[in-house]
Amino acid sequence: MNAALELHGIVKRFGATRVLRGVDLHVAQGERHALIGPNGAGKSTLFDLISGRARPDDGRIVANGIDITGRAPQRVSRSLARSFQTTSVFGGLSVIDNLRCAALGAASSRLIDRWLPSRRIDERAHAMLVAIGLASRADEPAARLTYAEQRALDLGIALATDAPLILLDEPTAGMNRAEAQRALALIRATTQGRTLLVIEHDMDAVFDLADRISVLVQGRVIATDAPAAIRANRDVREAYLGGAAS
Amino acid sequence: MPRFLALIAALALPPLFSDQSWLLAYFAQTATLIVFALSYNLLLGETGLLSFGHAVYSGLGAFAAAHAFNRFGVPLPLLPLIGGFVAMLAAIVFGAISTQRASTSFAMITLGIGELVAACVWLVPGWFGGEGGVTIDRASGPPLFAWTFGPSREAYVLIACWCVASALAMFAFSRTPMCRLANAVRDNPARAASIGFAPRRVRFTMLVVSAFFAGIAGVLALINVELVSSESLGLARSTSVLVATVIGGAGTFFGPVIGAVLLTFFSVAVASVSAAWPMYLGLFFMWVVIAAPQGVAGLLRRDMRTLCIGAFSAMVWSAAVVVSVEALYAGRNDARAWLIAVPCALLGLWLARSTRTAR
Repeated sequence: MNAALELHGIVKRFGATRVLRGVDLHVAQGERHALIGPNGAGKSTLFDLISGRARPDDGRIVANGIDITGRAPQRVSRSLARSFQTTSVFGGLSVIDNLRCAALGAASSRLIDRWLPSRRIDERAHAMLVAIGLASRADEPAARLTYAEQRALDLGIALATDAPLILLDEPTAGMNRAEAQRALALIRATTQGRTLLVIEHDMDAVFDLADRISVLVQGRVIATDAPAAIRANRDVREAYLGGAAS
Repeated sequence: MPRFLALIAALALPPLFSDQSWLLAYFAQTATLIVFALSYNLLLGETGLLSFGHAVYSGLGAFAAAHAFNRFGVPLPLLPLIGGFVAMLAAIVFGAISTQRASTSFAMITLGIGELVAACVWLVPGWFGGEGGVTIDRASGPPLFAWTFGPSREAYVLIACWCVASALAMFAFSRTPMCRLANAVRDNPARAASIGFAPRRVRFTMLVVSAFFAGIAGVLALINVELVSSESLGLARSTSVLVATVIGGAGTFFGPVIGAVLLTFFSVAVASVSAAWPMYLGLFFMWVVIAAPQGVAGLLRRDMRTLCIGAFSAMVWSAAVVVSVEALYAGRNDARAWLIAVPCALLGLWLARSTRTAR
């Protein structure tokens, strides 16, 4: 079976700065993988490369056996879906229409669905609406949702595309502890059966969520292991946790 | 639906009560601009694309239709379809370039294309008819039953029917998932790409659909005045549809209809009593952009109290503006004019302040 996502020697330069210096990463099918690291380690840049928003200067990205290196975002959307670090929804559209659009992007949608209303798309959008707990706000413009609701919708949009691999960029950023707990519970519940790659700044947040954790420091993955082992890892403590404590 | 019935009723009334050709021409002009503004709003409102070259599509459609009518004797009632399809072809060519970009770049590209096509009128006088344009004699085509479309009433009925049909078609289109995808691209192109929709392709599709209806509008104008000339595809025509759409409100489907009615009112009715009409239109346009960015359609959704005060203050302001503009225009520095204008303006200011605190 192919890995859900493989990164081989990813290099990204911005001018003279090497942001990513040969990143290797292996995410197995169905795994919940977290990517942690201090600010400026290159986590979001790595997501931009995987989702096609930017091109790597070197290295290969393989999703589910398909080489997607340097493909435009709309050409990788069937393989993977992402959420953004800053909330990214379609503000002028109603909540349900946000999800309908995402469902239209799914591999199973037909061309005719873009031109005529379709019961199947409606049903899929509605199921996602219920799953993310926004059923009572279906007709509200997305811009009017609260921050936590918008984040939930952001997640819902990514999930509704039916992509097997979900990339989440700091899904609990800017939330208080209770909101973050709820958001993580929602992620856990809605991503059953999919592969998840989560960027998180705060290791505690993903400790319960992730099966494995990779630590990105200064453009390199310095360790990949189970959460408990990562906590105990001396290099990680020095480079990341220790730095955060001091 | 009640709004559509109102539109149909408003278009059906004039030929029932009057056979005055100027009145029918005025209503035909309104109907034409309604179709044109609705098609423009598929770009501006739905897709968030500001175009300065929309008249290119209506104009080219009209030129092609005029030639099809004169040379091949295409029946007049079918002529708008010809215009629509030719405009679509033009949009496929020009849109491939312009829809690569959004926002300011898109606006600049459309401006360039507009100037380019306008220049062609003088470069290819054979096809565009040069200064005189291309004329048709709408009665010369094959008659439909007893109708030759020569009399203005028959031509008007044809234009009104096409106006209603186009408005209904665009309304139906505005309810399609494709139009929601256009909204998604308008609101957040990066996100739209990440769920699988290339913003460029969505913009392109919307432009082609919009151009089809613009082409229809161009032919309706041709049927009304029996002439298509360089003005039909020039920048002035492109800006007038932009002004109509913004005045009416790009945020709602019926906003552009209101805008089209108001713009035709300014350019025909106000123009017939005052040569200073562009000044009134300009001031009104600025006022809408600053004070009512949702357009007149957005204003109508406010509560009754605000509406009444707003209407009163609009009257006061209009009085102040009209008196001072007309005095200036006549070149007289009449003290009496200022005696009316200044108190009106002060009253208007006071009303504006009180509505702001009331809100």
